[in-house]
Amino acid sequence: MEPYEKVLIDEEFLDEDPHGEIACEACHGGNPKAANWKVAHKGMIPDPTYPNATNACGECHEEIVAKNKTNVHISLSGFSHLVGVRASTDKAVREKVFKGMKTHCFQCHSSCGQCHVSRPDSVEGGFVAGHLFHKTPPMETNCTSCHGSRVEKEYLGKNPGVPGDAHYAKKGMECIACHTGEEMHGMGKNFNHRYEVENAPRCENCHQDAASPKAKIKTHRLHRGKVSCHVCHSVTYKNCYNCHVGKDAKGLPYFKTDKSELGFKIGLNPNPNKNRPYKFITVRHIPVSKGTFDFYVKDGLANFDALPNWKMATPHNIQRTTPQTKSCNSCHGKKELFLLEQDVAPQEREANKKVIVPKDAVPRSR
Amino acid sequence: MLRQKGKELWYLWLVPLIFVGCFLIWGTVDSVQTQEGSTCISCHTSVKDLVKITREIAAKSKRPCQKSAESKGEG
Repeated sequence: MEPYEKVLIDEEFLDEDPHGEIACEACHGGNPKAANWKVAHKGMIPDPTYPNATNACGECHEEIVAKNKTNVHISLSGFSHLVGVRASTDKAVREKVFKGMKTHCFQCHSSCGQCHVSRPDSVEGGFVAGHLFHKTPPMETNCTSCHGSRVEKEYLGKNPGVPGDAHYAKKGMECIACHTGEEMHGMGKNFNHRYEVENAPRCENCHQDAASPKAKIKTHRLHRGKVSCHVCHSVTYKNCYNCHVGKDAKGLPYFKTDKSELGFKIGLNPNPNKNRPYKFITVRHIPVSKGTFDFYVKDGLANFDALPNWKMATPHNIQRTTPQTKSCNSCHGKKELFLLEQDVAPQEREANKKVIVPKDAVPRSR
Repeated sequence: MLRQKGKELWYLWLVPLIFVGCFLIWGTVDSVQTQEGSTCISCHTSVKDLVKITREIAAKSKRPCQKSAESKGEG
């Protein structure tokens, strides 16, 4: 986008959008009576909805704004919790890790405005359509501009040789079809992980028969509660490795990751619970490594082994028929599909001991 | 006699009408000034003005790209 396009207001916003009736300075501050742009922009707030949307949105959208602070796109509670568990218990070291996290990880957040008006700041912002408000954020300019490396490529079939998700390819379903506004706006409760969010989508919300003990398809009945839906119905997906963050000579923050790899691995469920009682789940290598914050402090993630970095994954490339569904022995006895000790780097084996599948735990061929 | 007095004070009804009229006119003028006539809107709906200003900003900026060139890989 050209710089001017990012801030060009469409006159339709003034004529048609109810938000166009509100004076600019009521939300953005600044001085509209100033004689030149420099003075006019003094004290101007580009995104008046972040970090607190109360003033800009609260008067009309009170209920949504009240819950919004617990929205994981805003709170980033998953980052804080998981890095917090892995971080050193030494207070000074911990502070440096959190400083690094604030400089890097916390730059990827959203806000009311960065979903409904503009592209997110992390992709350099800019109005989606001349400051018009979109009730439903457009998938291609908002959702996938952040969730691009993994979700977008899986869902739209952009990984070479890997088909896109059937929900998109066959039904044209966009993100919001499963990830509703209620989920996106937060529940008013804090969660330590996105997989804990209580109103997050579940396959069985729509595919009720498949999750029923009386499911029409025999393999659904046989595997019910034992394997996650993704184990059978997802295909090759992306794994990321070895993220390191730091600042360059100009003081600008950077990140470096090793080359991503496509793969498919079934691991043990390290945390079976009421919602996910499965023994087997799909696992993805995530980018965090022991040295992620080395630029800020040595051994910052001293408790790295407390959590796996082959992590439960819900790849967004669901297919009715996959290599695993062809026959029983497409999975049973097929050790290469499972995350074995040999698949995990020696320095990461301790962290992943709960997800590594012992050779004798691979289901036997039939 | 009362009827006679009422006839003499008929013009008092005009006072609230003038107030209401002034209030409505003031409200409309204010709304137009803050939106269509404001500096914000006149500039932010003009491609010409925005191109000029964004070029001015880019020319003055010593660091046009605020993203590090050292970033590598997928985020």
